[in-house]
Amino acid sequence: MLFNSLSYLIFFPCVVFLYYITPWQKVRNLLLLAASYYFYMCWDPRFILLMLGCTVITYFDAIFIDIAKREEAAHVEQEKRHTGKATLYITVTLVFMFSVLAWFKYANFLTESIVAIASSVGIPISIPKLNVALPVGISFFTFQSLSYDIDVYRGTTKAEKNFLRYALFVSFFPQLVAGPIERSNNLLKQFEDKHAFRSEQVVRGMMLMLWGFFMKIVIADRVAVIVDQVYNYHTAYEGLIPMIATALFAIQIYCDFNGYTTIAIGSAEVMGFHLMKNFEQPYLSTSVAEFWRRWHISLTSWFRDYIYFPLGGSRCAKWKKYRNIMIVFLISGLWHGANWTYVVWGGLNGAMQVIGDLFRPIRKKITAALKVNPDAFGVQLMKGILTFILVDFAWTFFRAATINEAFAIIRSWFAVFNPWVLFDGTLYTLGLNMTDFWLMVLSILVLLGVDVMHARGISIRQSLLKQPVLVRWAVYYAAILAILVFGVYGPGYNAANFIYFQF
Amino acid sequence: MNKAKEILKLILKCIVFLAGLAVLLVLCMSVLSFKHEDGSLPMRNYYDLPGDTVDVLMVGSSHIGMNVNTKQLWDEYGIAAYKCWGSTQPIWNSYYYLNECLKTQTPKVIVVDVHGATFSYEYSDYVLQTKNLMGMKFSANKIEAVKTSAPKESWADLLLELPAYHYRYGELTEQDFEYFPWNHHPEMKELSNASMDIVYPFQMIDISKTEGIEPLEEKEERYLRKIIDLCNERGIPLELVVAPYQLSEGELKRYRAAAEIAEEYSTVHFTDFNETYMDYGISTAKDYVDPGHLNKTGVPKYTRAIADILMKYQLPDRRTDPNHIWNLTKEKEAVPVYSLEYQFEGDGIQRYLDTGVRLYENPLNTWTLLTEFEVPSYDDENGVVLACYDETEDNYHGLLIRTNENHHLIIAFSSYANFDAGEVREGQVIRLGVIKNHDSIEVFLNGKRLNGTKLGGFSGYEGTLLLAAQVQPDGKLFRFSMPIIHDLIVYDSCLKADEAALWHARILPEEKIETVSNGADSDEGRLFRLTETYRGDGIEKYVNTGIRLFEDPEDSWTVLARISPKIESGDTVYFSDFLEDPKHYTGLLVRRVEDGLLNIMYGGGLGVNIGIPEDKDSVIAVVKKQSAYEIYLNGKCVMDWNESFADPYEGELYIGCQIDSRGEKFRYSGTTVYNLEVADEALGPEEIAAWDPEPLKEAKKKKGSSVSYTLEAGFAGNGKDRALDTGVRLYDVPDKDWSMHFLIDLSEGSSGTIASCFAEEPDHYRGFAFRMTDPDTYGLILGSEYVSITSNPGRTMVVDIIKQEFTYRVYVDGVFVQEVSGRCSAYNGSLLLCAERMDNGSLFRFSNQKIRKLNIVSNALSEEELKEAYGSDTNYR
Repeated sequence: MLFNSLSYLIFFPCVVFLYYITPWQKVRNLLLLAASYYFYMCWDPRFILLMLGCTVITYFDAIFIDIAKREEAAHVEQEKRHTGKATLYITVTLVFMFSVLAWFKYANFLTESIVAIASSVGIPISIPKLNVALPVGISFFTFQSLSYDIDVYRGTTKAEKNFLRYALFVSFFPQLVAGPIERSNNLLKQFEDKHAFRSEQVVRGMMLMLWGFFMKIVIADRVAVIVDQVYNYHTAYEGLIPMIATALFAIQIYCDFNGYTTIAIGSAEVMGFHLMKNFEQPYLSTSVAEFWRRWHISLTSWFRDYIYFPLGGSRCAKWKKYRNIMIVFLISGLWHGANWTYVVWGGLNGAMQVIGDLFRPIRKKITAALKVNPDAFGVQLMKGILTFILVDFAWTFFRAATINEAFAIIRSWFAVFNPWVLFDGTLYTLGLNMTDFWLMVLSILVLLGVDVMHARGISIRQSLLKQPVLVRWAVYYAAILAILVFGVYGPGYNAANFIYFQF
Repeated sequence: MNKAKEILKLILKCIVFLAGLAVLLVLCMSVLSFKHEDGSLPMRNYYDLPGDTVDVLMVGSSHIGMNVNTKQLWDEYGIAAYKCWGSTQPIWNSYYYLNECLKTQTPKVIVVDVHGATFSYEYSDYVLQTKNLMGMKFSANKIEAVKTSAPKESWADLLLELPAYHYRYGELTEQDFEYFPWNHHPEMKELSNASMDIVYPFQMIDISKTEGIEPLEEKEERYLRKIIDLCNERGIPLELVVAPYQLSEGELKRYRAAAEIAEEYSTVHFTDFNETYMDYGISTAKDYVDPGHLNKTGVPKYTRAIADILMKYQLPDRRTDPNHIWNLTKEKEAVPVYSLEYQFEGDGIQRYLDTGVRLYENPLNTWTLLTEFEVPSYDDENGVVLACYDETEDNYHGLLIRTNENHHLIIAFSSYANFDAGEVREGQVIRLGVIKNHDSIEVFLNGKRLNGTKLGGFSGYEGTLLLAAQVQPDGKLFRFSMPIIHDLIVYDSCLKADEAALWHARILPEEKIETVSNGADSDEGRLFRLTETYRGDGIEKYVNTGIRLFEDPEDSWTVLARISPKIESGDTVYFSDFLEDPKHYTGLLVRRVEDGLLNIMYGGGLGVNIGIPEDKDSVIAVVKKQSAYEIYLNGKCVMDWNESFADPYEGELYIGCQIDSRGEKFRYSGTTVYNLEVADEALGPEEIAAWDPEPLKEAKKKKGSSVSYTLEAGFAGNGKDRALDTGVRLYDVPDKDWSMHFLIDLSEGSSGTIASCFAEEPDHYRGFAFRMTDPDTYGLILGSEYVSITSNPGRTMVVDIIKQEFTYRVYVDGVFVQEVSGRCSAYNGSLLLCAERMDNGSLFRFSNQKIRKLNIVSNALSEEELKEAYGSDTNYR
């Protein structure tokens, strides 16, 4: 079930209504679990068993770890010696969960890569392609349940005894298929509390949902028309057009993913749950490292906590720090998809941060010598634009179907200098007519405005709630009608999937 | 208690919010909804009719929608009929439309075109689903209709509707804002092919030997029976009809199955007009726009056929009911108070035309004046095109359109309110519209609004609208001028601005200026005398002498003529007054059968061949004394008195052509007749020998309008409604010289007409057309000849067409391709870019071609001149 589908527009209010009229917390959780499982089964009912399996294993693993830890604690006190049982449990679970992920997501990628490497050194081998369907959101719920087990192992969270609550934590439908990847110490305990109906909270949640729908349906899906046209027929375009398409892809993926997350956070908020922030105006960053602190925060922090820090983080020799960054970003690339394009994309993002760090002293010296105020608006703007260009350059690999295609597109940017395409109507031949094109530009400007306001600490929702009812309603009506009229949906367009579902 | 209050308040708030949202959504949907005239609108507008105002309800596909004219049924029979139809309407949609219609009306008879019952699919395609469902209001009937018409995955879109049409915000027109919930459209709206004047000749498939029956598909039969049951239930007689069209054998067999079903019910009549269409005069040669639909000559015939089957129901004449909705909402049609019949040309000396229209009789009159004219020559000092202008000093007012001494076009309303439309060339074609609404004036020039103003108060003016002259305060005419007025229409009401702007002139015939003297010639004893040499062009040129030689077979007369032995083109008739009926040849026919041999038919069908010199003119005399004939060649008798009895014949003596048995002219000839006289008696040998006049002078060759033209910027059509009227009349004089230079973009996906100045007259196609036929093949119609050219690889193509009289040379990208001779007669239409013109003046065949350059000069350029003028566009080799 997609958020931008009629089914969700019926499903969600029903769940919310039943949720609030149910007086008992246990029944509420049971209702949410049933709703979440139904939500997941709408894609492919078979995979509910997979999710249930992962839930059962990580649930019991956490309990065993907890017991082992307690035993260990007793042993340490008595004999000053570790039993190592907890480590064994967590290792077994990690191996199992990654095997599941590898089987469903990376098996074909692995075999194809082996075949490609072997044939490149002259050894012809053939491995039959596995007919494995990719369960929706597998990377999200496996990472979420793993983080819980690791936290229990580390002792930063307690093992949840209530299976119902834990199962709901793994499967909570707003964030089930595309995040944010929640942590147990934020979400799990919220299932213990009873959330009273508060109309302001419902309205706030719905406002978020509307903004999410706007980003997804009005911006991302409209921008996608141009991006798809240029990338699918990339040999037909040269110069500025593929550059513009790549810049637009940055907008598309941001609005697509952030749109989903925002609807998720909004949906949860309507029911009184607070999910973690996943984006913080990433394109207003002034360095690639900052971009990654603001983009897909729940994943980045997962990698930071469970890979980067254990590897030594940045409190070690410089080369180790750079190695750690590269490892994290290569894995992050692979997490996004079983394709070398994602690996290159991850590698590029890592490399840009390493290079940025290496050149920092030189940059500082130059700034000091030129007596430039690094906080001046102009400097910040230049840095922001440069960061966008670097990040966008990497997005080329993310969007292209193959590495060769990505290189072909990059070559095509410089094949010809054709600024006239901006003025001679070529822009209206890329799938959007003039009206739709300018609607796209206008909606991107709205997006920029909202991001700038958020960056300055202005809460639009808060300001709006202070307005008289007529103003508030006028804004709500305008937003709803804008989505319904200007949204890219209906016959002719199939409700577009969210890009991040595949990861 | 407080909590309950709060909950109640909250629920109330939600309801108000949702109600507000619903209102806004309804408004949005009213604007964005599809306004398909071939589907959703007929149903949508039906709801606006008051109850029981429709006597005949028709449902079905375009076979009823486009072929039957309900306005004609009303105008001719007083029948109140309504077509609730949809494009390619499946029979189940007919059923649900019918169900919906019968909620508010009880018609006296229902007519269903059963074309939709012969389909063999489960669902029609999505666009047709929208057309046949979206006009219906939300109801249980509509839900059923949607479930029947479309697969499950489309149900939500078709019921909610907004998902299907929300994207239309980019294509809204004025019409989209006329369907708010408070707008009603109960007036009679007619959409059919009643004004479609395209002709598509074809032959029906021979089905005379087709035997047997093919059962209808289960779903189709089920819904046909449902329709019959519904009508029976409501006690309304049902007429099942099949429109005449090119039906296949399979369809015929299915119609037979439908007829068998109809036979099971006594209340149902089945009429297949494919069996009887010829009885109604419907012809596949001229009454169809395509093999499935009739055109403007076919629709009235089929409508009368439908009226025939309705006659038995003795329907009331609703025209006499003043309270009938269609009488109450009858739109006052703009009726012209004056309409030019022929093109008018002033001679600058004394010719003028008084239209009799008093534009300013009441100074607050409203009117619309539309005209197209050629700018008078620079030599014409007066330059008056038309005038209804009071020249009383200090009280100048009215309407005066003229060119001034600086060759600017002036549209004057008073001494202070006049518009200068800028410099104009002599011969330039100007399309002008003036709307006067009480004291405000709007002027439209060549499709664009030029200006508007308010007129101050002034007294009335009794003068009439004059063409090519003005009138002084004392009533004397002056300022005779030489404009050529192609068209002029005056309405006594204000047309809409876009109607005035987008108006196109009709192609009126040229005014016939008598070239023959009448019977009362001052020459004694001469019934007729040619006043200038006749030289035929083999196309449409001829002279009608008006003399009936055989009106009384006992008459005596002599025809004297000096003829040239040379014939340049066309047929070989010198003159004729001859009944071309093989059974009853009657009259006189003089023609050449081969070089040096003349054939003369006379009296009741006798003929004689006479040898004539091939190198010099000959003088022929045919003498008739009652029923005896004598023939002279160059003063010598070559056939002595020969008797031949002729029947009386009403035909007239024509020079240069013949009349066929139906009275139509044919055998246009390229002969030359220097002199021709008809004496009212049988002249003697001396008089005939003495008759040797000097050859008469030839008529001055007509110059025609100017063709000089340069496209100021590139022009691209949009394939929908954008075209450029250059105003250049390439064929007002068919043998004038010109050279056209095109530079066009070979962009992919473009197709259709690039340029046209083409007479779309089915029996008489002629002129110039430049069309793209395939991605790299282009067709040129040059006069009457077709030339195919191929584009070279590249992004542009340069095409030059050089016309010298009737010979055309064609160059593509600077390379000579072909020379053809394409004779054709005059055509007064102008050159259009990216569209073509029907013979009623309206435009069609819009294309999305891109023309970067177009240059026309009024002489035939040589290759050197081409190179010099356009060498920068291509390499002339």
